[in-house]
Amino acid sequence: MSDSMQKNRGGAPVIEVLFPEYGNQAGDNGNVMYLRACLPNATFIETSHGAEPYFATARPDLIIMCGMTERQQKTVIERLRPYRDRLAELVDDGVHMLFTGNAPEVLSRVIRDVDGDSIEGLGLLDVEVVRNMASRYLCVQVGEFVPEPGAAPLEVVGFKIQFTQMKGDNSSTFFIKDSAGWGLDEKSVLEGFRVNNLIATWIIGPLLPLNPPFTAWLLSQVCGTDDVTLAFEEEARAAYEKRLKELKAPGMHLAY
Amino acid sequence: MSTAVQGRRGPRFYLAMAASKAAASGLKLLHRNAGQLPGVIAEKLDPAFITHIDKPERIVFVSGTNGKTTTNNLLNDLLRDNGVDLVDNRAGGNILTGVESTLVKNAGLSGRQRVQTAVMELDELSFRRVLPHVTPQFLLVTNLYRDSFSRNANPDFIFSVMSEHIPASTRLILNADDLISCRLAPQNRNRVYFSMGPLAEDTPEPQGIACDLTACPECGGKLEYDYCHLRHLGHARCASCGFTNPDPTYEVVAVDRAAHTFTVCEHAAPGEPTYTYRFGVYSLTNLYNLFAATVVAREMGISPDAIAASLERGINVTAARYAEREVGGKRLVALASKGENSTATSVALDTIRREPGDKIVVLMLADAHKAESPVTTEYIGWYYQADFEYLTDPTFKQIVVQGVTNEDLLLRLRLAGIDEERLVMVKTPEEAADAIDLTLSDTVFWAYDIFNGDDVERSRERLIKRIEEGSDVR
Repeated sequence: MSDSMQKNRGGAPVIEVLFPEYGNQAGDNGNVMYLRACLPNATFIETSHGAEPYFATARPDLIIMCGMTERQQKTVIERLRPYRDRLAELVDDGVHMLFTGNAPEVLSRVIRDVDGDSIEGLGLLDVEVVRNMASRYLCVQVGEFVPEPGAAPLEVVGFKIQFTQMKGDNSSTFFIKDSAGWGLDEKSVLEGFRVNNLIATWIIGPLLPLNPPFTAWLLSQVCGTDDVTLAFEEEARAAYEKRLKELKAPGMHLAY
Repeated sequence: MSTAVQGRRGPRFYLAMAASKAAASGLKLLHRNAGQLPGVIAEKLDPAFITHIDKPERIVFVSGTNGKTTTNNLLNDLLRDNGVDLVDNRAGGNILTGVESTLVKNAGLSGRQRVQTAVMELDELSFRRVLPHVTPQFLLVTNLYRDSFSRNANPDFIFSVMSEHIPASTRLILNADDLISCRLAPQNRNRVYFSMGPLAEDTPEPQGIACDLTACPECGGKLEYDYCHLRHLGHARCASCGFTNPDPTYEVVAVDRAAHTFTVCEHAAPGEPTYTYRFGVYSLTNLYNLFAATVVAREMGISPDAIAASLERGINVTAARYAEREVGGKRLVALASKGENSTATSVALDTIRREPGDKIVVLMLADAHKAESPVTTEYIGWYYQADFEYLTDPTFKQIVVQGVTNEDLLLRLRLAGIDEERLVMVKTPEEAADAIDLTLSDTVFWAYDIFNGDDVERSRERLIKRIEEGSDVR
């Protein structure tokens, strides 16, 4: 294993943020903001438009990409297409990845607009995206995340606001099982994908600061130690507990 | 010029007109604002009401993410002060049913419009429902930024919706400093631009933690900025394709904050004359709004002298968004911004930060009306796009936070780097007033969601009572 393939553990991981200048819709930038606060010793590599991704020749401990505009999504797909196979290799190799908001759609087979246009995705997720820019799909999310078989589930909370519905089967590769809100489409209760250590979820905004239990698990995996400290943990957990209770109320939905 | 796009009327139209006018009259008798109700009733009875109703000969729409309400109100006042008989939608709302309510208000039972000029605010997303049926003579777009994500998604989406529906014959009045909105509706060649030249408080790069213009909108190349006035508004050039700001017809060439004046050069006029106008309370957003209103008035044929005279008479930003009072030597300022709009909130916080001297700020950003429902929750992700980092400025001596999303705001404020000691979390507007420590500063700002105005007044009145009773020390 070359130096660049060494894992960067012990609280000083290497985290690659893909297209940070785009991935800030809906407050998704809050994820990296919180990672930076939690991991002051980590190395953050921001790969912007026009730059070669760090992962092209190295092995980061975490790759993160967040929600963007539909126009930027098209650009990102084309920018990442030359690195598609490398990205697939890293998924197979167990590199941690977190794609949030509409970023998972970049990994889909195809994004099909109801008006007839379509964009070929990177094809890392076996899912077809159906996009209708005249429709806004909204829901709150409460779902169980099982870190590993037999482990106690963690509850993940959040929001989904999107123009898309997904066609695909994630019955054995879902991220969370919803008790509130819907998953790949409005008829599904299985949200997102988890393929090896790739987590792809349509939950938007500050997923990590809103979910201290999940974030603590993710950081322990990325850093290779259970000895992780969440930034402003007391405040984060207070907000989480309140939200969990609120979103579990029957009929709870996003004000629109 | 006819602005009407009128379909064939039938019994449904006349029934809708009669019912909506009756509703408007009934509400007037009850001294209540008609709001959108007449339009809602009209739509219900005649779904094609907007195509059927007459339109005034001259329609002006004011749109854009930020500043449209203020600019529209200013323009209404400015035109009325110059004898223009017009109808507006201040009370009716800026979506389809609001426009319909305004047209109903201005119509006789036959549907004929009484006043032949309408100056109305138009919501950006409502372009797709209104502009196919109403052709404005003038359309002002103040700017495009990210807005409510749940409703407006992102600026690219809104840009597409607006561009698709802008009529080719409409005269577009666009902000040359905004490299997003200045490109609207390229099919329309009937366009004029306004711009502000370099200003003292400019920054070399776009402001804020979440920028809406991170690359050339034409080719995706790197943008090199000469200066930024406000967020991404400024002057830039693409290093790859050379795309840059369009040349302005109207340009602010001087701002004298001490004299409360700004000078506009009209580049298209013979000799490129300059005219100086008065502004009230200075802020860059106020100046942009006032400047944009004067440009529309000039395009509508109002003379510079007449505009200047109106501004001298006190036409200015309305109190709905900015209200200052002085009580017992204390300065108490309420500054509103749209909820779930990180740009507007950031600009408001930055405006407060730039105010001289120490200050206390009360944040009332959680939408109190949304909080009333036990089965709805407010989307708070936008807190992570808003620049709460401005509040780390040492002139902020105390930050009082009130609302149902306090737990979320507390985490965000701590992540922004704000000391725990300066933060006070409270539940009610009254508790916010009681928590203010006037030994720390004589200036208090309320930064609030526009829909929380009543709560702000309750809080401010309680503080005034404290001051008047002499219990101004905690």
